Amino acid sequence: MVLPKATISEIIGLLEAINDAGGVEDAARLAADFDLELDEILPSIDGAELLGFVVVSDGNIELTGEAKRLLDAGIQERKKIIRDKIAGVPIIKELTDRLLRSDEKRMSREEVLKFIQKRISAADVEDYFKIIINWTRHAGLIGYDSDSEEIYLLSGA
Amino acid sequence: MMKRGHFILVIIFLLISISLIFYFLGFINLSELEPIPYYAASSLLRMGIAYFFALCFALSYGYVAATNKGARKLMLPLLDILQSVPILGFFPAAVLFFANLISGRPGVEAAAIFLIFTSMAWNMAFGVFQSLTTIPGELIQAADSFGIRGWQRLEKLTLPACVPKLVYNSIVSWSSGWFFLVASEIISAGSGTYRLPGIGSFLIDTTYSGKIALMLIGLSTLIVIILLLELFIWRPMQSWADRYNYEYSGEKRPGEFIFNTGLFRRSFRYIFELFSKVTVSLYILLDRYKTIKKILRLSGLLILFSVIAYVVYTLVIPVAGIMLNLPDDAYSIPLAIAYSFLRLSAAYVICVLWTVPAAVYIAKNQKASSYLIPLMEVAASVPAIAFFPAMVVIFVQYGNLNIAAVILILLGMQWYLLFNLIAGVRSIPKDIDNAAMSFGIKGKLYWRKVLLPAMFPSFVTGSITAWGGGWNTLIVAEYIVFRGQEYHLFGIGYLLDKATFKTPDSSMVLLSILSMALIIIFVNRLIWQPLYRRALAKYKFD
Amino acid sequence: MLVEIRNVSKTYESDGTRIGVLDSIDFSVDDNDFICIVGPSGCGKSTLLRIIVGLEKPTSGEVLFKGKAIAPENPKVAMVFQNFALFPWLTVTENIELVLEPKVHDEKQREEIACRYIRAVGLDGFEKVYPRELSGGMKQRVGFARALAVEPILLCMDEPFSSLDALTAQNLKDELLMLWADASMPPEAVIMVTHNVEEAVYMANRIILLSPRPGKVIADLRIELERPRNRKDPEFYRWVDKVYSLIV
Repeated sequence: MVLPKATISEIIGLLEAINDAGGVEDAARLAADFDLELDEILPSIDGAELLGFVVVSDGNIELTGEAKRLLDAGIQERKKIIRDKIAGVPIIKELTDRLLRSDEKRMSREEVLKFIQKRISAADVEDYFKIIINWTRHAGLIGYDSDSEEIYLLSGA
Repeated sequence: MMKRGHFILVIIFLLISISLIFYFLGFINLSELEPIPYYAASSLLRMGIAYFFALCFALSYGYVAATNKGARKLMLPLLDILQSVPILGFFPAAVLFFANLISGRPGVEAAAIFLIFTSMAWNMAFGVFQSLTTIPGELIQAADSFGIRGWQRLEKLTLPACVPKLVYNSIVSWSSGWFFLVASEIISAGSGTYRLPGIGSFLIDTTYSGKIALMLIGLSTLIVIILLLELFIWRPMQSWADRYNYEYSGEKRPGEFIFNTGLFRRSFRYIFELFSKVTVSLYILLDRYKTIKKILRLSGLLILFSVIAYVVYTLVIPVAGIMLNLPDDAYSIPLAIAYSFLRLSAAYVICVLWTVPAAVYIAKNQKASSYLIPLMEVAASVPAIAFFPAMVVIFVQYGNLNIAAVILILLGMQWYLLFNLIAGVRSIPKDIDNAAMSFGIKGKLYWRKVLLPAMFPSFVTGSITAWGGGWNTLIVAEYIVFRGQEYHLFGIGYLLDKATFKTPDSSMVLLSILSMALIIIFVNRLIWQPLYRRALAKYKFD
Repeated sequence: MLVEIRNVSKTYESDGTRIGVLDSIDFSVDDNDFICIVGPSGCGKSTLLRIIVGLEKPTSGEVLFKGKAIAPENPKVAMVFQNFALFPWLTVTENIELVLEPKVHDEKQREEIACRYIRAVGLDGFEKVYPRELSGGMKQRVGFARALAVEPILLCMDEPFSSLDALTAQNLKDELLMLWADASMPPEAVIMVTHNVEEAVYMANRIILLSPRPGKVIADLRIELERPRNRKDPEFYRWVDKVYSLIV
């Protein structure tokens, strides 16, 4: 799982739902709670797993300690926790490294799309681009200038 | 609140009454009215013939462009260029071309019909192309899954798909077609040598001979014809065409009028089905006899080639001649364009200054718009050019022709911009207005940061069409022959008209048209298109 | 007593017939009230909210805010919209600064306030982003930030979560409750319109039920559940059942 098609909001929403169920819940029942099909909730589960907030076994999704810490925290605290997790996601780490190594610390949209294409061979690279922007903006790691269509490293990354 | 259909009837009634009053007051004799039906019929006939050709062209061109990816690459840009050339620019060239081909009056008639054709055909072809390329995927899949192919597909899917846009474009084409009809009649009347009997020439004659009451009746006749068409043909056709819309919800259009029901709808459906059956039978015939298809294709190509060859011959030779020997007038082209451009800009500025506040007032004011909008739609359906003879008389008498030209151009521009702006204000989502109101954003702040930005996309599209209308009006406005006297304003329209009617010079005609097209394309690429892209990117509500 | 809704009725005229939308709505809003107005579609709850905010006038009755009549640009009331109602040509920061312009005349101050509330909803990093680039959840966060930035005493929300997907809505609800629990944050009271009973029981400490058109108040009950609330809790179910039983 390189990158799931789920926004950070969706992932946190999922965590909150599992928390309500006592910290562990069956995937099918989670889907039913939200009136979703199983494959509609799957990306959020994958995302939560990728960020280290859940462990999945036998169709059961269980919150990690990190997740519980996140849920107890306030809005600003949450941002800090998430930021560290996002920075550690392999594809995002690669992207930030690449930006660091470049001269102007910028990359054009086209270059990013190519970058994604190499790692995720899918037709809808645009969608993954949006997810990366969503995650990295949330984390305050990378910014995107829609006028010049370039991503750039944010200070403190 | 008056229903729009009723409003139109009232106007028609008013106009007829005025005419009767004139008669009873002795301003006119019955004998003077005699030619009117003949003139009206001639004008209407020209429109009808042009429309028929435009329809055939649109269906074939649009169909080929939609189905043949390779041809599309050539056909769409060509259509784009053709749409950029102001249509009246075609007229002098068309006159020369057809006059060479068919001497005498039929030649000029052909030119006029060709002119009207060009004002209709391109946007209808686009409409067909768009209809065919935007058939919802599900419909195509459904057709495939049910094995509906070939002529059945044509009848049940392809042709019906074109109906909404074709009807809409037909209505738009006719209203712009009137402009060019009257323009061609006026221009040819002014030239003396080529005269076309019609409403346009009637208006010129009566104005120039000072018979104002008669002229007004001529004008009323034109307006009445346009309105009657609107009532009895366009509105019923529109409500019939609504059924072919993908999201047809069965809602009636606002202001529906009695004549919409039953008879007319059925007639249109009948005509359409007849048309489909004929097309389909032709298709089946072609299919069955492959050789006929091949022969048709070959002969089509042959005709195409010969037409291209002839056009090239009549144009390229002059161009070569130009290269060797520029006519004197050619050196004044840049200055002429500058002058014309200034006139257009002046008219445009006035246009913007009044349409923006007017659009906001009308769009936001329910009561006002219920009677203002029908009134303006009627005013807008009268081609600006119909006022041209009157303008000429007034301003020739009282001096400044420049003002007359600018006013005329203004008339030719403002409706496009106004209606686009009104639509723009109306399309502001209610929530946005509610949000602004609830946060106390009003007055200058509201205008600056909410209203004007929201209107920006429609401002751009409205301006593009307004300038198109402006160029066309300009060509008529800059050159006038009145009682044997020639009046002109120095500009590119004048150069074009002069080279067509006064001192025929086909190389000048060509150069003028080319330079006009060039400046239009230049302004488009440099100003309008970037603005439009920005409008879509930044100012669109989703 | 912050807001009094006194005998508010609303009727519309359409083609000569009178349609009753609201009928004698009467209740008051106190400090610390999180009220959810619940009712079926078309019961006039959105109209009621617009009347409370001052966007519409009642046909009869009045809405008093600390004893005075409410005006549309009453700086003490702010609204959050179901479809976000953000201005597409303005960035996140500019959207918030815009609503501050009528009151706050110093540019630097507006910037400061906007920044503060952008951080409060967790949108730092998104300051220069345009609405079309934002997901639904982000857009509504801007909606919240914008409403909070004018530091209202009453926050009115019209089905604020209905345009969001279920998971994002869940996230946003919890964040809103966090802001509500924060004593240093405006507002002092909230009125939220929703057609979803579970949502109402989850968010509100007081539920007002409206009947189908014309909307009448059928019940006004306090929800006595501790926060944070848990949808899986049997207590929660019981409250939901209670509300449903009052509707039917």
